[in-house]
Amino acid sequence: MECLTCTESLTAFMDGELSPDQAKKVESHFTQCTPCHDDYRSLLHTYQLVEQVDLLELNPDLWTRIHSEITDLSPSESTWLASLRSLFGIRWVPIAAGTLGVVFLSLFFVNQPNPEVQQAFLEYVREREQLAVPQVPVSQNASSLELSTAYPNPFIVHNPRPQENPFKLE
Amino acid sequence: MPHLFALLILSLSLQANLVDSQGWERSRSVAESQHEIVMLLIRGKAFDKVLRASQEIFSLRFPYNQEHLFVTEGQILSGALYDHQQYELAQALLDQALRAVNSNNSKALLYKEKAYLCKQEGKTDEAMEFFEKAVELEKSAP
Repeated sequence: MECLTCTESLTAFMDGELSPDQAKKVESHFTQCTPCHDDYRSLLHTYQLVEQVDLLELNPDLWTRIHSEITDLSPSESTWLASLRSLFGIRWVPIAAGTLGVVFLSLFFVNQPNPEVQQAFLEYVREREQLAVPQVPVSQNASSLELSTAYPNPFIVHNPRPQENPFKLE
Repeated sequence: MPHLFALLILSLSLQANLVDSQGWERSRSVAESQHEIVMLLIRGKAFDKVLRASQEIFSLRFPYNQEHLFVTEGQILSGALYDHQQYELAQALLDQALRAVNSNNSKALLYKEKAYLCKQEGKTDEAMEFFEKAVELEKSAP
């Protein structure tokens, strides 16, 4: 038997899990092989130490309590997240994220005003500011009957009345 | 007999033209006076009466080729209201003018005015919306 096989089988030998034939082979090897015997002795000492350790006496209710806590936790696992996870496999996650990203970006760009229209608007505002309605100064001496206001009246006809008599023969 | 019939038609059409021109002249005269009333109301800060008085102007029937006067009137009155910080009233008055005009070009000019007032008020997004509407109307104008 080789040392490696003996070392690997030592724990099983200690636990009595080997067949009598295998156990005899392992035992005969480590009784003759000093390194393997040392390993055996070290393992045996560990086993003896473990046996000396006092076992904790568990409260019989402890396991019942742990079990009930585990079963209480289980329903939260099967919440909407779990059902969603079962509905859409993990491979759908990047596709869904990509689609959402595209939708978000398209909404962003759709809401952006057309740069040409924006430019035209700025030009219009500039022109409009120059063409602001001229405010005619109101005379302080204007009588109460005079309906002159600070803004022009677009409905006034500026055709000058003829001063001469059109029917007069020259 | 045919001559008499032609003369009758000519006379009727002349009369209709005269009635039309008289009707237009009356509307113009009413608008002229009503404009002064609206301006006095604005100057007197009687803003609650402005829209009712201005509606008197915009409900007048103007010939198609005189529609631009409604546009100018909308610009002047809304400008005067804007000067008195009556921003919402100015927009409402422009809406009145928008209902009074038919041509896309007139509507476009009024939407541009709405955009201009919004811009002055700092409402840039709203201003752009009105201006885009104006551009669309101008494009669809014959």
